[in-house]
Amino acid sequence: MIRFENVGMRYGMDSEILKDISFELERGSFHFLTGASGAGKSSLLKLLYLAHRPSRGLTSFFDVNTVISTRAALPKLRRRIGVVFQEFRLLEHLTAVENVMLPMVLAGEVKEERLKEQSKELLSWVGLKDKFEARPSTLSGGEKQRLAIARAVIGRPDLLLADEPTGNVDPEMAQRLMHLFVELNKIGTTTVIATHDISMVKHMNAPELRLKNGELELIPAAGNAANPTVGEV
Amino acid sequence: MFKAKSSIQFLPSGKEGGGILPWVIAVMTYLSALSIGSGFALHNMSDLWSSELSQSMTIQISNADDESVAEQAASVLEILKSMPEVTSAELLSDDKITSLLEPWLGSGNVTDDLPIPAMITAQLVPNRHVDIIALEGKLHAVAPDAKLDGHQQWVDQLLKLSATIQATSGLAVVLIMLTTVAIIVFATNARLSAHKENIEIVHLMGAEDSAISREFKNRFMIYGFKGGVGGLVAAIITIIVFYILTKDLGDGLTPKLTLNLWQILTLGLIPFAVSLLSMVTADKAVRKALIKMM
Repeated sequence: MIRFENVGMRYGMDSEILKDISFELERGSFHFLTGASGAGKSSLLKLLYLAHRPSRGLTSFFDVNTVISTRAALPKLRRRIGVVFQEFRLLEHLTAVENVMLPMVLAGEVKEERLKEQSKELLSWVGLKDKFEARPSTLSGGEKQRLAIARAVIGRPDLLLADEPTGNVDPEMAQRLMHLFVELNKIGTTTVIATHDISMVKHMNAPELRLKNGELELIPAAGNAANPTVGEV
Repeated sequence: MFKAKSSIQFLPSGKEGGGILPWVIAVMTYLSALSIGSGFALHNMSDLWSSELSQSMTIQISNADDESVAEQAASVLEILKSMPEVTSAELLSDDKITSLLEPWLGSGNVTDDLPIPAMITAQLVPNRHVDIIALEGKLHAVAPDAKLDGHQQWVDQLLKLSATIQATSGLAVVLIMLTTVAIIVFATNARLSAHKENIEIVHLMGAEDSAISREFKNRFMIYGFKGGVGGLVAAIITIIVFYILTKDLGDGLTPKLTLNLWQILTLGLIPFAVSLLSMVTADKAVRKALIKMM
């Protein structure tokens, strides 16, 4: 579903941040993206959510070669990708419910009343039941994170990318959010979670995309390397 | 894909540049409307004037001997009235000549000792050519002191002046429009810059360029219309005041400054044109900025 072949990426004339990255994400797969700070996680995520083109190599999303595709073809692909940004990137002038509704509105969903109900349901599920009309600036870090997650998953994306999604929440909420990711993964959402939390990676028993100095190493799930599965949360 | 009817707008309704922009557009519209309006009025005036002058001619007979003047005037009138191109010819009375001179010389200053020539005016059949040189020869044969004025030189100069002023008005309108475009581009870029983060987020969520542009287009269309209406109303008030102040000026000597129905309707279209210009300019500026994103 997602394929990278010999991908390199550099900013301007600087040296390559990512070197010869090759991997394939099958539909419904679940991976952790790990690596030390500066290893290239953010750059790889930018390539995965189509914010940048690679400097070299081939990238293919949902059977579309995005290296040669036109700009006009990209929005449709982006609408199939849900992203939880590390810095949340919520729209400050919108309420929590409106922030969650936004991706669906962009995708052309015009039945706003129904969409609003769905958004409220999802917000309740992530523990923001009493924050429907709150603006992001009034929310705590953990609440913003949950709101960002709700926004990323509302459209049941084909590919879900989350950058440190449990970094600002307590262990109980972290477990709850991971459960949400697993449930989405079970219904076919390809999931990549960037994290520093090695204990969570071990606990989840999922394959790992490990970056080191811009190079990628694919580490199979510890439980069954031949057929990796996501462990119980 | 971001439907206009959606209640969710991804840009806040702040007034970055939007507070002052309708005022700037209003000033530009005001100047454009005045230029266009004065161009129209001048066109009408020169049309009317040249039409009036080209359909008439004047013969002056000047001689110290009043008897000779009267004889020559009678001969000239006879020739003119026999011409098929002439619809009417008359010798102006002293009172009429006095009333024509008074605006220039002042009331009561046209005295009996002032040497005033005999004046004959002839009205011509519209669009019928008169051979002025041949007529002049014919008149001189019977009235050696007659001076024929076909107004052609005056009409030509008037038309040249009018055309020059109208071209200048047109150029002024073009320059005003270009300045307006530059201001709108500047305001659009300011808004893009102020909301770069929001735009980048919705872009990454899959918003089409057209959807992002639509929020700008709609907003700038409204700014353009508000400014356009305000500027036009101010221009109309100015034109009416100008008309009232000048309607008695040169009465009997100069045609009135007027606008016909089509010209008034054209002026009425200015706010829509300004609105369209604002919308298209904002759209182009946004798309140009978005193209820099992947």
